[in-house]
Amino acid sequence: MADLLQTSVTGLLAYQRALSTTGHNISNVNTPGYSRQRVEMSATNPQFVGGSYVGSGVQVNTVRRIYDQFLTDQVRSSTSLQSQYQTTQSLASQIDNMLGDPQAGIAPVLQSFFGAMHDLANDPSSTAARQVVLSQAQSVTTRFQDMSQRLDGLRQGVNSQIETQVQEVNALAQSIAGVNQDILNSPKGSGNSQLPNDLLDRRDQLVNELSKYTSLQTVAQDDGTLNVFIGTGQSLVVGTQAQKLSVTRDPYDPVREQISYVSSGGTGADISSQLTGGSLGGVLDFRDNILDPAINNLGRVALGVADSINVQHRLGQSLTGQSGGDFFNTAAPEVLPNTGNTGTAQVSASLNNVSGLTTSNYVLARNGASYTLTRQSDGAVTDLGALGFPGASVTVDGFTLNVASGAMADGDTFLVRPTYAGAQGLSVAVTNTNDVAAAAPIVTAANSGNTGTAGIDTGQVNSPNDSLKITYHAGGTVDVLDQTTGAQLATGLSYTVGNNLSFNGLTFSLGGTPADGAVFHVDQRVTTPDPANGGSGTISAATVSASATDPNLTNPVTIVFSSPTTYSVVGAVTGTPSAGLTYTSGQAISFNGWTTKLTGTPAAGDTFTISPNAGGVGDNRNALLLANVQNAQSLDSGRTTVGGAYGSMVADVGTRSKQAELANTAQTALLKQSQAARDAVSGVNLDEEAANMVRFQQAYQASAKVIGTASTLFNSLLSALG
Amino acid sequence: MRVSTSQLFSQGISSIMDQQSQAARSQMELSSGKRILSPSDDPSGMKTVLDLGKAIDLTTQYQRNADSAQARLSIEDSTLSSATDLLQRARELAVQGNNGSQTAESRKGIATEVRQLVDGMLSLANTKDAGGEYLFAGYKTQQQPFVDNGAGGYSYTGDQGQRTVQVGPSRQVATSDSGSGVFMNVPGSSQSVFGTLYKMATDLEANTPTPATIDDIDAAIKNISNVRSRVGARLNAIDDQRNLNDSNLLQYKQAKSSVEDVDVAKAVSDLQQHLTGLQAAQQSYVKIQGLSLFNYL
Repeated sequence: MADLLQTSVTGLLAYQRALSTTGHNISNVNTPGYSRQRVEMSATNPQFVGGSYVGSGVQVNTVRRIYDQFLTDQVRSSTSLQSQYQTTQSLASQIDNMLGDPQAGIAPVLQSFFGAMHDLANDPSSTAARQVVLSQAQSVTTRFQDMSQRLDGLRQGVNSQIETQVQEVNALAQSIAGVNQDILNSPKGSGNSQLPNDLLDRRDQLVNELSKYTSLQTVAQDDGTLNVFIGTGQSLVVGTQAQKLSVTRDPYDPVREQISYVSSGGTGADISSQLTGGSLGGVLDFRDNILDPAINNLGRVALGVADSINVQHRLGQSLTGQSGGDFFNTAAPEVLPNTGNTGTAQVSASLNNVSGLTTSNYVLARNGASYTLTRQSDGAVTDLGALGFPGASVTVDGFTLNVASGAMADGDTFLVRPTYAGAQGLSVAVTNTNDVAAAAPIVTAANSGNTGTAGIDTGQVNSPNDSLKITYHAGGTVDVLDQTTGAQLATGLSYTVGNNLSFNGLTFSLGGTPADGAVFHVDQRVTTPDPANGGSGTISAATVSASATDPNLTNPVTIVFSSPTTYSVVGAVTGTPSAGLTYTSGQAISFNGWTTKLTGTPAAGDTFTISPNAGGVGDNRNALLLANVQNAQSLDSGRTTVGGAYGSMVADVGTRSKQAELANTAQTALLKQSQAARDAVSGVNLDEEAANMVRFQQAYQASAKVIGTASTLFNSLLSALG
Repeated sequence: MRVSTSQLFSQGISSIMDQQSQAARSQMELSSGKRILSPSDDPSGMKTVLDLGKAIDLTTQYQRNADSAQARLSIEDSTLSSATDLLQRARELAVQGNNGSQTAESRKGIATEVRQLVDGMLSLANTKDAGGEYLFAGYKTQQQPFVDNGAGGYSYTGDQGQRTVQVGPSRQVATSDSGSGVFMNVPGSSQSVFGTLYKMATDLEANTPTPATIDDIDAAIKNISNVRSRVGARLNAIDDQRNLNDSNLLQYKQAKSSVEDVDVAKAVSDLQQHLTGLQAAQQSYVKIQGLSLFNYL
């Protein structure tokens, strides 16, 4: 009978434990990361009594955590990716929404500015029209600055996110190490057969939390602890020790934060580029691939507007007869030295032509005797040494680098950001309404005594942006054709390779050994040798003079016809033959940086003059050209208008934001699925627990009944004896 | 498949949230009337919208420019018309003055009128436009172009500049004519219009009219009439361009609307669908959450 009692007591104890585990499950139904537990039972060893084995009850083998490592890992990696894309999307959508408001973007203010220019062209002497031009220009610069400040606000937001997230990562690493310690201290049964279930869940949950910040790998150790690795294998938690991440400054740009890994006893090393996944990965991805390109893009649009207006404005003449000068002030390209530089070099950069600018940043480096410039967007490397750097200044992709003083030491690097400050640094240079250069500096006139029928057009000033075709001839002469106006600027001009050539306010030179007939192009101030050239001729970058025009532009000259088909140009004309020229009606005639067309039939003795424009307050020629800058393809080597470049930037941000949104949606669905798969195994179902509760309760009651029966049996025996 | 209780809960909530956000999106599209609310909704569509917006603004500006050009040319045209009338009157007087029946006295009377015509012509040539600029001064629009130097001498102080205005993407129209070609250098005549009239008055006063005066006046009338026909041609060109601009504007607006505007019928039906979905999600959530085995224990 004692056996019966003993047997049923094992049942009571076992089901008590089963019920308390059910209660534990029910209590933790909403605990994140909790895995349901099951009491595993088996029959106790039977007793050999009277020639047969008699069962002796039930025993609890273990309380098992229902758990699948694979599913947990899947949840973790989905969490990392989802968190990354969600972070990228929420940051990108801020730029997206900023550009989405049609009234807040650059397009409407640009439109108003160019509209004001048209109105000025309609009424060039009106002070009111000039005032409107200046006000609209002010709106343009203010809008660029506003947008730049909002982007800068996002950049600061990125910094503070990096700071808080690094703190969170460090705290989580510390907690994981702490749980590792707790697990290490817990009794684990023989051969680590029984690990503390709830501590494992807590640690998994902490690792899962950590994976929201960055992708990670885990390696379980035999002693029950878990090692955590991030980035490309940097150990964040090893056993009971946690390493630290720290926020450090970019070596080039102190307001740009990066993440460093501090190994035990060592100094911090930048691992920003190695961190992927998680919200840290998302923040870094946003900064590198969306925010920085957007700032550079916006800067390039600002520089594009400013430079193309400036060049045209310089060609004009103000109400008071002064040469136009710059209309906008622009920011020079930034050159940021690495904090680790040991040399003394002061490197400076200037804008050469906006048409050649890209939206990338560049790294200037010295390695031994070699000087290179690497474009970060595509890794293209330019050998600057071959171009004469650091002795001479060199022009690459629209900007010019030179060493202003000192020298670069071996290993020194500089970051060059040609357009980053473009939007922020834009301002209006013209303050007086009289200084808006609506007029052209020259006027043409037909002599009133002319007897022929030829007329002369109002003439135009050649722009340094005109497309030039330079043909080199053996023996040392060049022909220069202005393809924009159709005028021949020089024919058979004596030229020694290496010397400067100056046309339309541009100066450049040919180098190497050009073959006879080699052709070189200058378009939008970008110089290129013709791909079909033989020989080894090169062409230098072109620099534009302060006036952007030929220095002799306003020299008074007279076109004198000696016969209806022959003319000479009398006056201060430089460089090119000017006598005995053949006249064709409608042909462009260009000297001293201006171009004019004569049509009709002149008579011998007829003269036409080109002279400075004095008192021409009603002249709107330059205002008209300024208004049409809007349609000039002044960016991307003459392929894109400034408005088009802004549109591309909007589309680019939109596309990236859309990508992040789609990726976020996809990863959220995947996360839900892997979460569901994990929960299907490990999650608590209350109905199931209710059923179990009833089941265990009944078993417990039955065991208790057996004890009652044992007692009754014992009583019957006692009463039989009594 | 096993479903955990918390999963059941979060699934229900997330489907309600999904339906809510989709309904909110449809509602936003409907209330703004726009399909593209931010560039990410349709990146290339957004670029098209920006391009078309620029084209619309620019074409509107061309129409403004055309208005301004037309106003300026209309003033020129009416001034030249008055000048022609004045010269016609001068021609009548010249014919009259050359008539042998006139006496020295009557010729003086005619001369008095001709003197007034000289002044009238000078004031026409010095006409200002609505903005106070001299119409026939070339670029020197703030300086009186025609000056009476006395004793029949007249000088032109303007230049030969001609102002043009952009009225279409590739069309510029001249909105002025230099006074030197209109009044000073008259083809077929050896003197300016003013000189011709002045000499006519002097001749009449001296009782020595010459028929050559009539030829000079005819040449002046012909010259001004040539200028007028050029002005008329420009006005026609402006009208042409204006019509073209109008039809471009309409096309741009239609194209922009087709890219960015919401399809109202579709958006309304989407909204209805999301609202129905939301209702179903809410109802099923309440039903499922109400069920628990514990209720029966």
